[in-house]
Amino acid sequence: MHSHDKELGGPDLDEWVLLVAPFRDDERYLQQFLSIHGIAARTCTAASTLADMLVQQPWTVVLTQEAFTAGNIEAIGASLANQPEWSDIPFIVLLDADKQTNTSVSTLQTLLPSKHLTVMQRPIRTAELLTGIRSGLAARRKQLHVRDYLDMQETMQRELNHRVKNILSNVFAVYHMTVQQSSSLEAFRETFEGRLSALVRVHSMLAASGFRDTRLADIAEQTLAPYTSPQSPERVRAAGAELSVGPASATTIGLCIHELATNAAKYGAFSVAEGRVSLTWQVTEANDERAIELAWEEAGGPAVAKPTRQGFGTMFVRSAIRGLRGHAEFQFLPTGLRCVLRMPSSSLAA
Amino acid sequence: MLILIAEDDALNAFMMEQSLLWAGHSIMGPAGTMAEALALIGQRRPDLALIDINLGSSTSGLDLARDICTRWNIPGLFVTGQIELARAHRAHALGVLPKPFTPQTLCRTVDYLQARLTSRAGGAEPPRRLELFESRDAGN
Repeated sequence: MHSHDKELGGPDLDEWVLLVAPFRDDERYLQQFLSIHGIAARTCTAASTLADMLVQQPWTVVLTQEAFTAGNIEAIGASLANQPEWSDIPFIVLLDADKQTNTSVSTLQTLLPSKHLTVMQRPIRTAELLTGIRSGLAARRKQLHVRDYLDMQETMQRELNHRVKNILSNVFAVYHMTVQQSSSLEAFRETFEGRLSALVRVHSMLAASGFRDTRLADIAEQTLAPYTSPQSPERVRAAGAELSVGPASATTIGLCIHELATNAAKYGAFSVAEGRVSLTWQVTEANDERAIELAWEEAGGPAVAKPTRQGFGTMFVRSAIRGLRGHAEFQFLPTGLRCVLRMPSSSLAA
Repeated sequence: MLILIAEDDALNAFMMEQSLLWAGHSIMGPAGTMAEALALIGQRRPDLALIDINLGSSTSGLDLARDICTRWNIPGLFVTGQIELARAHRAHALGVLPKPFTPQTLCRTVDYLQARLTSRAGGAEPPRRLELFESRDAGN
């Protein structure tokens, strides 16, 4: 962030004034004067022409009457011809007092590509010059704030477009997948609604956090919410290490938990009143790589038989975890289904 | 065909994977990052790569298409919402299938590309939604 107005102290490295005062020692005096007041000033040299200096975007330009050569005017005009909408470099012009001054001023106003023009008559009063320059710097500071704000808006707009496309794409994917596996409209309706609700739940959570990292505990809570009830709190247990995952991973993990829960509701622990599900997670370390391990364990449900075909939800979980460079393991224990998801921590950053 | 899926969205990747498995193809991946895709290719060469431009937090799908084309001559198809970007990188891909698409369109696209890549005569029409980058000769 840029510093604000300073009465004392050295010049801010970012803010600087361009001095074009070719007569004798004018530039040196001006530079010293400004330096005492904590304002950095630069001048043109043989190596850095006026055009070069203007490219570096001075915060304010101070020109004396002697600087108004045809060449300089042309250089100024050319360099600043394509300023963006928000940009209007302040100009301060120091003129001799004579009968011609008014004409000079109107000529200046047509020549200089700036609506931000201050004219001062020599001999210059230091207070006027100082406040004029400070005013120019302040104006430029505001302009740069506008620039930054516009950049941010543009970035956010792009981000938003990307997310909207992504969400719509997800809805299509859920629709197509569900259509393929549903043999009746009723089956489709129920499965589609369930998946869509899970999607909506996860996205609401992401939106609430501003699409930043989400706590794994919150994802678990949200996706298991349809299955928890105050009457039987032991039905669902979700606990584990305090950690957060990126937005894309949050959606993936959320959908995986949803599929596991849906299967539990159809065939497993959630299909009977006394069934219980425990979802726990931890951070493990092996071969210098940190990994996350989630364990889904069902108990108290109907007797489990290993399915002859993989269910749709199981296939999705396997695919999704593979996409996170991980591995999903399904164990059909006598007590109930046990599913362990392992993936590198680095995969969950996004 | 052995097809590599480079897509970081789990739902989209799954849909593509299932559709293509159902149609009898074999799948590598899904790879959610360019690094992961390259690691998989290091183990086995796919016949075709389906590449989403946004892999992870960048547009590395573009680099992936270029890499697999120049290093191993593996044909790639962009599957993405960013059509303009895909077109700007036409030199390294067969074409672009815009998102969103149906599983049917995906399968017909893959069938069409398979025919072209194996130079099978047939004269089948490409699916309407598929945009081919005609400057590339299939089977190169």
